[in-house]
Amino acid sequence: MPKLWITGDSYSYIFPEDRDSRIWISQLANKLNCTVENGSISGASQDYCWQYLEDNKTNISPDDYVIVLLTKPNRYWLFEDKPEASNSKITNMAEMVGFKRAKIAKDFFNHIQRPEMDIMLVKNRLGWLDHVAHHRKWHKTLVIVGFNQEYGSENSYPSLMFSKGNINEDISRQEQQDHTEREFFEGYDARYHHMVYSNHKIFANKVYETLVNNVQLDLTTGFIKQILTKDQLENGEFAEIEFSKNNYQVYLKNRMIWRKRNRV
Amino acid sequence: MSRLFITGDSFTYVFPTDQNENVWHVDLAKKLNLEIVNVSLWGCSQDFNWRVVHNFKENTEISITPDDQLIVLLTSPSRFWFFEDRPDVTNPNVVDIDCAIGTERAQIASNYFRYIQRSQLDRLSVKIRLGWLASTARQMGWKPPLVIFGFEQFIGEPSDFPELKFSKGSLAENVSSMEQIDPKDQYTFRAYDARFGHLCLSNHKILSDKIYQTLVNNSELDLTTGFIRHFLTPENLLDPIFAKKEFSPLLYGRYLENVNKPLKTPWYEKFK
Repeated sequence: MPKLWITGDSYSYIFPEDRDSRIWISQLANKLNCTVENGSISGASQDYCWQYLEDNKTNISPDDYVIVLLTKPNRYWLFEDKPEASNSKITNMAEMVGFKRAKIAKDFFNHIQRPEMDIMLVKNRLGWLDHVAHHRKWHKTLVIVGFNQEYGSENSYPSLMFSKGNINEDISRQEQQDHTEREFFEGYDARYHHMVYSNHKIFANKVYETLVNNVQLDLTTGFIKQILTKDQLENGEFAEIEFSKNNYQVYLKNRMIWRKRNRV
Repeated sequence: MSRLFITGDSFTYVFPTDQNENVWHVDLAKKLNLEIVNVSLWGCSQDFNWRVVHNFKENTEISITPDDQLIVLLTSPSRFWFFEDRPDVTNPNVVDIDCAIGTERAQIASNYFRYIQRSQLDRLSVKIRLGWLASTARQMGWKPPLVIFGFEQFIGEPSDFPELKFSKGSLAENVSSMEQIDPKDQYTFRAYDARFGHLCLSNHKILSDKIYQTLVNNSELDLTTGFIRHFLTPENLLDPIFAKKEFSPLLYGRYLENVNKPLKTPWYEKFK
């Protein structure tokens, strides 16, 4: 039985022991009749994902499928034991890694991290992936862009295929009635993989068509938009249909703290 | 005229006022009848060299063609390009860098080495860089780029990158330090290495011949044999005839100026 290899961040992370059949990964694996090998974690940097690919490249066979969720290029895997502490926007960095390391991370993001370097490193990573996919005769590896970023011409990577558009701006944010609102979920996204379940189904179908029929994965059209209003966040029935049960509970718990912190 | 593109660190950098036709890459370009394009920087990191190669690929005015040859001198993977304006500040073992970049930036760089830099990340980054280079060489139809190890390092299996050629051995461990009486002595030259690219000119000639054979006859570039060894005696270092034959006049002058001064502490040590 072929395998579906996935690496990425919260767009593909699955909670341990979770058997949720509604998420796009489960639906896709079912359609492809594949078992899933998922090396994703919430908050992962690209380096974390590439280490997973490097560690597993000899285990991936030409019959398998490989999907890389391309996370933000400005995340860095600073501390080996805390790959999720990769982001300058994390508010509880000191809780995650300790005060001293949080200060070091802050200095890194303020003084060292810069777009010129990020862009080159993304190109290097994609070049490496193209190289490995070519020599190991993998199916064309699917790179799903999580966040808008610059990575050069797609023609530079003939063994890869790329999504048109990105999940963050073209699906996730577009589900909100006001897609410009950055704190719609007040600190904790109630959705699985930052998408309502209805869009998981569409997403799985589109990715399937891409992997099997070589159709470009177009994230800019065909998804349900503006489905999320503030009222629906209070609607238990809607939440059951569209949100992850676990995440919705955490969201409800967290938003009180968030509102207090942000004096809403 | 086709060109010999080179990027590297102090193993390939030559000061503009210190040009010499016997330096290996100058001699090699002459033998190959190639115009030399050398973008190297003293103390730089691999990321700097890769930025250079990205430019060689993307810059239409100076891009590498299938008739050209690229040589990459692979510097130490633990060097890190911290600050865009100072690609030469990468290395914990250099002295006085803190004076050049300021205490705050030196402290930040020092913390990087103490808390973030690690061999797992270094190894991954080297493999990723080499993968990009191999993929680019294949697609652009470049002659196999020659990767010369400046320093010993782990890259996995060279056969994972069939589009590239690699040296056997490294310049630092197999040529440069072996010129000393005691290869482990880090202070043969005190603070200033008087040699062009850390090699005596006699070994530049040998290196140039070897690389020529590698590029023209596809032979392995073996740095572990065939070089002159153990001839840098304390007497030779002070012998002007020997110095004239083997050293850079500019760097030898700096060496003589500093030879009797006390050794300075590397900047990184000050922030420990």
